[in-house]
Amino acid sequence: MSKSLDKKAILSGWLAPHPPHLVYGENPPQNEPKSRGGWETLRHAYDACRQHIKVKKPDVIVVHSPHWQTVVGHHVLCVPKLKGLSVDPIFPHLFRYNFEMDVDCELARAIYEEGRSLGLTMRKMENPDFRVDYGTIVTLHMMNPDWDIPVVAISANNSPYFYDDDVAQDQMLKLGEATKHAIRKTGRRSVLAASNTLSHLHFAEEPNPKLPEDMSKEHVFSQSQYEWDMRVIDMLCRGDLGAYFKCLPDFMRETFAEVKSGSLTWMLSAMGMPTIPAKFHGYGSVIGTGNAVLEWDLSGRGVKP
Amino acid sequence: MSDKILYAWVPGLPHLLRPDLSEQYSQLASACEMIGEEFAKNNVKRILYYSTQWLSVLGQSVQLKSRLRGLHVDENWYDIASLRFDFSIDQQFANALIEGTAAEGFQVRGVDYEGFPVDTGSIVANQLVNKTNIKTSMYSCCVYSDYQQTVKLGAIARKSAENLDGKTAIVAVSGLSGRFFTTDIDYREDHVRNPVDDQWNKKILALMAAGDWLTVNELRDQYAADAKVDMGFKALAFLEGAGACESGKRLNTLAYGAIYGTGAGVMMGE
Repeated sequence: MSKSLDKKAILSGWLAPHPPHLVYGENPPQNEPKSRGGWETLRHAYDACRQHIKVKKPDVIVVHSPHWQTVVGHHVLCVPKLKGLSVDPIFPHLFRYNFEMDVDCELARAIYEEGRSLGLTMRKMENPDFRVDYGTIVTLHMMNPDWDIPVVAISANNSPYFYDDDVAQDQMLKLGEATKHAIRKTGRRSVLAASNTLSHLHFAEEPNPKLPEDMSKEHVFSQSQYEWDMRVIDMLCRGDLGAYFKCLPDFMRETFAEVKSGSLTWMLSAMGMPTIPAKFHGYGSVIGTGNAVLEWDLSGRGVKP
Repeated sequence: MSDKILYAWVPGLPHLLRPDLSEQYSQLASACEMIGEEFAKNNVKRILYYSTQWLSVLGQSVQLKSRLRGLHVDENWYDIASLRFDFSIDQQFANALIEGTAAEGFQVRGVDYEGFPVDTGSIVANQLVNKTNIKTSMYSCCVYSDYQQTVKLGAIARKSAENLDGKTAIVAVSGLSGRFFTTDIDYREDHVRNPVDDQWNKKILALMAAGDWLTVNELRDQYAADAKVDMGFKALAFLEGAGACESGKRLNTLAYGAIYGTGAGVMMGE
């Protein structure tokens, strides 16, 4: 089963937000709707990630998505090949994407087993007709639009929205541990992606329905939300995870931060809570939400953009 | 009182399409089918689904595609149900809903896309209550529309329906108490997870069956918070706006049970 027990099997981790507007603004051939551009600052923030992946050639990209929301435990995609048309139910006018992905089922099964051994409720999604959520697809497209690297996608258990934040974050720490063990056991050279927006309060109506990419209408939802995002980015870029986790409950409560879904906590746990500074690649708002692309390069050899 | 509109409330979880899993699911499904028989008996011309599983966040959405066909796999329950669906949309009604919604100052979008992921709730409801292929329509549940705004949306639906020929059924597709079990269970032993939720559900169902809308309205916020009611009980807001909760009207309970720990009721207007 295992190729090696490389302790640096996790090459890097990325905070990789998933607004479908980013794919829409880029106009890739897979997406049916076409735009005049938009959200360039944030889209170009992904260039470093794309380059990193081309240079490092990881075996797998593992993504945790808040838009595959599961009630009973944590689920992993476990079908070797998935393809289809993913239409975003919220933004169908922006995102109708023909996806095709190879899933690393060996690693998926290993995450499932390791999660169970840590006491988590885990499930393998083995239905070949499953429609992959847009959060997973947008993040993976923005990181690797060629789709030439297998993936593993993990669902977001919705406990934080039902119970208290502490219980949920504790589960994400365990899920991160399980992912780390699974990656080590299978010897995969992996890139991780936390598909999370930061502050998540947003407009309740589309500012310009006739031109969704009208950048004259795009702005942060509020100054308070913006300041929260900058504070959190600063902590992460100083490698001060202690300060980050201390303020996390307030951040989630005051900005409805999407990190509540656990993706970032999962990734930081899988990376062993790295105290290296995260590298900032860009920040931008999408319908008012705050989005940042951040990199934790665990190989110690950052890829220059 | 309008005799042109019939009202119903059904759960929208796919367990109902697997009556083999539990006697409870079977009873809930049979009750939904009884509602469908009533629709057929009353010569209903169209069914409007307001499903709390079809979420919108930037304004309201109305399904506009004339024929919606496909295979839907639920993101949670993919192991028990792959759902074939085939909806014939009443475009005249859909356009009336869009125009009426816009006229009241709401942002609204018609949805007409191949491959659009119809929500599990609408598919489950349609399979059970619409065995004679009555034309349908679907109105999204906007996350940011509060209770009173949703009452207005229900009123728009009523007005739009009353302007059309024939009878319209307005069906809320939603759960009651919302506390799921978070681990694997034996379906045969499914029950409402929290006994207090169970008491709440039964109390509210009894009030709705008695047509005591004043008390329902007094209690609804507390019920929604205490029992974590599906989407904050907005299904009732839509039905209220559509006229189901007027003096002298009732929502009779045809079946009540649990689906994976949540409360599930099948109710028919009278």
